[in-house]
Amino acid sequence: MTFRPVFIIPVLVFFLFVGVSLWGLLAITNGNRDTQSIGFSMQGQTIPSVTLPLLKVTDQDEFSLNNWQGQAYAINVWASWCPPCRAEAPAIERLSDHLPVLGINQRDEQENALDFLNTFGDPYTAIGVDRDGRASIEIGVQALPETLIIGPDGTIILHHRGPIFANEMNGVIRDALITLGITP
Amino acid sequence: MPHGTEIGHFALALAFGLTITQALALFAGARSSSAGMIRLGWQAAIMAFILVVISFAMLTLAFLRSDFSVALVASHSHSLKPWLYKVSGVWGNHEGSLLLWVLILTLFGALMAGQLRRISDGRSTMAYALSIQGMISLAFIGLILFTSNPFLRLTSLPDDGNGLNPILQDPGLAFHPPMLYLGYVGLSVGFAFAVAALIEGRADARWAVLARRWVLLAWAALTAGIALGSWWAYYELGWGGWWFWDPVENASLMPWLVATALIHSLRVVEKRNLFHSWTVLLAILGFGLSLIGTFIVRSGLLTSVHAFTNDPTRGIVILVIIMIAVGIPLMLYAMRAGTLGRDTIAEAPALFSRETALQANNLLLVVTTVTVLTGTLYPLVIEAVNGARISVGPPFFEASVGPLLGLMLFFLPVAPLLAWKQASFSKIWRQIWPMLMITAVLLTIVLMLISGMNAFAIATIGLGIWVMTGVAADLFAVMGLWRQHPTGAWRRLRGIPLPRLGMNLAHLGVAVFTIGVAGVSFFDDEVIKRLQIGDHMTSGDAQFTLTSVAPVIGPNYNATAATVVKTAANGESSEFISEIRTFPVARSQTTEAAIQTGFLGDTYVVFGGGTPEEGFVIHIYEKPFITWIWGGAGLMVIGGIITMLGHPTRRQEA
Repeated sequence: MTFRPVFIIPVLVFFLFVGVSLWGLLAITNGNRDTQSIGFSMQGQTIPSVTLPLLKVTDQDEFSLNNWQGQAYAINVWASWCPPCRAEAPAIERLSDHLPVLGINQRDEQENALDFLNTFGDPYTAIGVDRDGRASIEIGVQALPETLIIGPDGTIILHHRGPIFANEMNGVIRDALITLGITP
Repeated sequence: MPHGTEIGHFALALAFGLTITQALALFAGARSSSAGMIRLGWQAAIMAFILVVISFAMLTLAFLRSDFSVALVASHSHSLKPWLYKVSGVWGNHEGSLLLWVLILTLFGALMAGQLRRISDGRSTMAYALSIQGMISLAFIGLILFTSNPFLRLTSLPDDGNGLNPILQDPGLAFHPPMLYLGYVGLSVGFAFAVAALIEGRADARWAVLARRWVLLAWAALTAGIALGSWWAYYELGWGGWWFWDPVENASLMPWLVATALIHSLRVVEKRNLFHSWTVLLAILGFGLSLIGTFIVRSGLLTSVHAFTNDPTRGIVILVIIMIAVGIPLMLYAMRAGTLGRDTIAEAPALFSRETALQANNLLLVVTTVTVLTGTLYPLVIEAVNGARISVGPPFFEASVGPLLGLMLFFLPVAPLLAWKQASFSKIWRQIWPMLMITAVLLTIVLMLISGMNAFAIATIGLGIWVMTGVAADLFAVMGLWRQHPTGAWRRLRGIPLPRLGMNLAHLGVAVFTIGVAGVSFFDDEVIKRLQIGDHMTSGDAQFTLTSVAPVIGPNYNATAATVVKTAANGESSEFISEIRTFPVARSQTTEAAIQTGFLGDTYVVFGGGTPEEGFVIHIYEKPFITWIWGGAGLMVIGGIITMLGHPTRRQEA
């Protein structure tokens, strides 16, 4: 017994890995793929139109960002499995005093999501379900939680990554609200 | 030393040359059994280490002296930083961390050189291994010198540095990366031995004895490194989690899983001369996955919350190193794996034997590794196939890795009780039924104390207790209590061989860790409330009163501190101070949680900011048994080190 085909498997799997990685890196270098762009926000650009099913049954029958054209609003992307999302819940509550906050519930179970809202409060005007995370990627969201503030013309005024605490509320969020002519 | 940086740069360039000598002389020496060449080789390895120490010391000096003419210092340090963080700033960046990596790599080279100098048996294996080690050092020193040089000077001097990311200004960072690297790089020794085995076409018991201590050391360091990282994330980030299944975390978990399998399968090679090709494969994969992990972290290939540097060009260089370092050994493996055990007469073990149990352990660990790898790389593969961008979250990992680890815990306590070759079921049953009974009784007590547990919680706690009974059963076996008279039991326990003591400590660590995980996963609790000064809130049976919110000035930050007084049900009170820190230089903020750590878990108070008008947000988390997670990891580390210390340096003929 000197050679058995089974011993080739590791090297084949390895070169598969190398191939995919090489593709990934070359695509970044050629500008076709951009892991940085989900690293950098889409601040200043126009929010893409995103339509999602609703988490709860309300009077509207779908969650569509198009419906909010002409009005300033905020988007908060969250999930029940995301600990910092819980931590920022009070701040989102405060944000909703100033403008409508739309929630995007990402890769979550409906039951857990509803539990979360019962426990930590529900400041959202409407909540869209982003089951596979695709809509989040479209609006440039990389990790949870993230919050976007959108102007009446659909421009992303602020794209904030990470949880919002009091200091963000008194800093970047406040500045964004002032830009929109809202007195925080 | 104003030219310290140049001295450091020069020393590193000399070390580059010496590792070439190390690699070539040892390879030639091992091939031709030339004692002179081998001596030249190990001397080069020791010299290379000394030169890298000089190089590292010079870079550290530049950080300590805040020499902002050095580009790396200017962009990662600040004159106002406390000295400990000036030092940890050395490896708080890509270039410096690579230099730390090389420092540890050459340290292992020097240690191997010390062993090569002494041994007479297995000299050529050791020489090949040290040659391979030299090639790895060569690749990484080259990577530093040609793509990531930490010694570059700036032509225009800044007034002060940019500072270190405030989240990295924590004692945790001072110790976590060096420990983790000790583990990653330590696995390179096992890898070097594996390649040596492939070159010689032999991986026998003698080979396993030589390699196993190094793997144990690396495993212990890796365990400590991962645990420190988790501990740091938990205590520093204030998010209350200990593991997030982030690509960077998975990158460290995968080599750990493979190294754990390797420790166990090396034991089989050593004891029974079986599993040669499998063990060699694990040794290659252990270090291979360390490299792949580093590559994933550094290249920007995947998006992670632990952003390091995202540089695809640098990523391609690392990928080329991986292609050579892992691809060639794997090709060699494909050609030679079948010959590794040719000198030994393999005696197939019975189905019911320790060999089979260890094989099951190996298989489960490797399947877990593949699962984690799949979950980590899946988004990349999907994107390559159809351009869709997805990410895999904790639910996938919990649902897939959880049951695999559970199955492993179920078999774990039985394996050490089984005899090699052929175990007797009736003999084992005499030990297993008391273990089952004790587990059942203890689990019943737990069930009576805590109501409303779900099936997963019960299973996890049950498995933790089950593993503990296994440790007790093995110690009983050491004491001879299963068959001998109790007199002399204590003497027999005191005479326990170190490797067996180490194994039991490590397994006890696994049990303690499991109970910690169960506690945090199933019984954690949190309350958030907005309080005015003087208001109170309750969590569990304790009352928490917000007594003050006041500004604090730190060495390089300003903070607002909230003081919360906890009054327990028995009237005892204690104080929690949580801060929000603002770092003016880096223009960023961190939250310092106030944590009361106890044997039965943590109480965690986080200040969420606020104003006197609207009230202050206070979060209270109860994390029962979370300390057991690190306690368990600590026991595993101690167990690994004790096993290593008691491990024979050469094969004893049984």
